[in-house]
Amino acid sequence: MRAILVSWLLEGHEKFQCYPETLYLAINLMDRFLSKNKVTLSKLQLLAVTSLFIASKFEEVNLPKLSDYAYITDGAASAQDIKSAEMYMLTSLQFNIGWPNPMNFLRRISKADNYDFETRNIAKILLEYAICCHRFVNVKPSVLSAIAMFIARRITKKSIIWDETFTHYSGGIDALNDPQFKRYCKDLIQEVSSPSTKLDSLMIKFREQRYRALFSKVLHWCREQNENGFNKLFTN
Amino acid sequence: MSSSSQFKQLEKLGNGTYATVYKGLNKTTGVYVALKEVKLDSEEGTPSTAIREISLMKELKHDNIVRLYDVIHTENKLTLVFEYMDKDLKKYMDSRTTGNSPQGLELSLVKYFQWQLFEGISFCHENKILHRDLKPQNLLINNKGQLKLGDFGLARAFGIPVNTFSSEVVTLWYRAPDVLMGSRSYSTSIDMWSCGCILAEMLTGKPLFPGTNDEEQLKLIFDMMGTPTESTWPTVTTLPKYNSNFSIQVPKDLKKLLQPFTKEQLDDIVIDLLNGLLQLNPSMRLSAKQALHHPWFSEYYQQQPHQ
Ligand SMILES: Nc1ncnc2c1ncn2[C@@H]1O[C@H](COP(=O)(O)OP(=O)(O)OP(=O)(O)O)[C@@H](O)[C@H]1O
Ligand SMILES: [Mg+2]
Repeated sequence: MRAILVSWLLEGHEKFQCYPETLYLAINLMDRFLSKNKVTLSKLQLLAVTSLFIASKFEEVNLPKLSDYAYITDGAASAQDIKSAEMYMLTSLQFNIGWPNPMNFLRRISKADNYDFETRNIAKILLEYAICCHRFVNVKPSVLSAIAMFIARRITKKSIIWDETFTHYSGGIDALNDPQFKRYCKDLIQEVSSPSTKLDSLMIKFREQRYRALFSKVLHWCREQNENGFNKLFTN
Repeated sequence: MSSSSQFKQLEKLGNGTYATVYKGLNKTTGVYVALKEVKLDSEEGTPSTAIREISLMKELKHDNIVRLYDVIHTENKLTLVFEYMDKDLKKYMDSRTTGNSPQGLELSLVKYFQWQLFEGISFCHENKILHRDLKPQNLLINNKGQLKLGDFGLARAFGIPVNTFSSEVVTLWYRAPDVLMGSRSYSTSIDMWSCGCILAEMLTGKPLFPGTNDEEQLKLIFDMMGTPTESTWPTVTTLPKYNSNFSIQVPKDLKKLLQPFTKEQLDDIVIDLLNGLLQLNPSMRLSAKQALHHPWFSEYYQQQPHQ
């Protein structure tokens, strides 16, 4: 079910061409709201569109109009519905909208390798993938960014995979010796090679021109890793 | 959340662009508060300024940042309950004006206010928040001489060089030259420029660069600080609104320019601080942490051995 909501968010986010931060915040707002409230099936789309509406107000410079949000729901939610839902959601979340956005952590870790272009773009794909997967809902944003970066460095065949510099910029993650971290990495590689839930909109997005080549590289590498039993995944 | 019946609404304190601020009395505790009322009848639902201000200020707890106690939601408005402050810095400076000629403040008071301004902004920056609208009207003071940052309506979280349009940020007079020339990737340095303008304004009692439009604003800045070149500020010529026809000015002696308007004799140390804040090149501008360690404040940091 979360996968359907995430798909809607992804589609709306693509239509408005918002920043990645906005998508991640919207997913986070939705997850937090759902963890405290019961939502009937008929209101799910309202929840998704309202999450995007609030996240944009927090992150974006050029805000789409409320009527545009209503429009993309294809009649499932009116402007008035979204307005009421907005206040309901803000109140339920006690206006705690700010959240440590994983994009900020990714930027920080990227300092450790001087913003290597390809690694960074692959890490972004992996990060987006992880955020859309239900399996990683409880993983801290800083850890998710480190996982994305670690795997991205493997994919781009960096000779030194993780050293003190990376530990420093990731906020203390010792990737090669942290069992929990290693488990998450394997989980993500597994999710990419054989998804446990379908993320249709994400697949459509990653097959677009601007992502296609990189995503197929990621997919190929993850499948290979999965088949050879994560051989040498954690040796420097 | 408290309910609105808990507060008695008293006189109006100020009018902002998206809200009206009243003095209020907490009937149960007898404590004064400031009630910032945001109308919710807009086409677009809750204003983004309110969403940012509330969510960011809830997390910012510091002696030099106005405390947000609570948010009350009623039918058609949102009321932000803030710690009450006696005046904003603009009103305070106006109240010190005698007749028509603006007056600067006493140096010791300027120093104390400026120190607190840096403490507050340094805390914001450490917490990855840009204020983006520092100006005397948004700095609040009380009878104890405390100064606190208010109005986080334009503030935002960063971590990022934030992409944005200059028009959205900072009242013209306090806007940094890089933003005026259309730089889209700015950071904590924009707040530091505003701090420099505020320091000068406290010293002389009048705004440092009171431009009426973007071009005039830049002209006033360059007339005083000199016109930037690729050698003083690499990449400046690549900024979207850089104009190769800017008239060429050399930096002026700030001390000479400001001295006629100040209450007391200026020393070179405060001028050095001012120059550090008013660096045209954003990467050369002092950070809040650096400013707090500037020799002008030595009497303050020497009192705090743990620092
Ligand atoms: N906590 C407070 N105590 C006393 N006065 C206050 C307080 N908060 C605000 N004010 C007064 O109300 C005025 C407007 O408040 P504020 O700047 O927060 O509103 P705004 O709508 O965001 O303004 P702006 O026009 O700058 O966007 C301030 O300049 C100040 O004079
Ligand atoms: Mg204001």
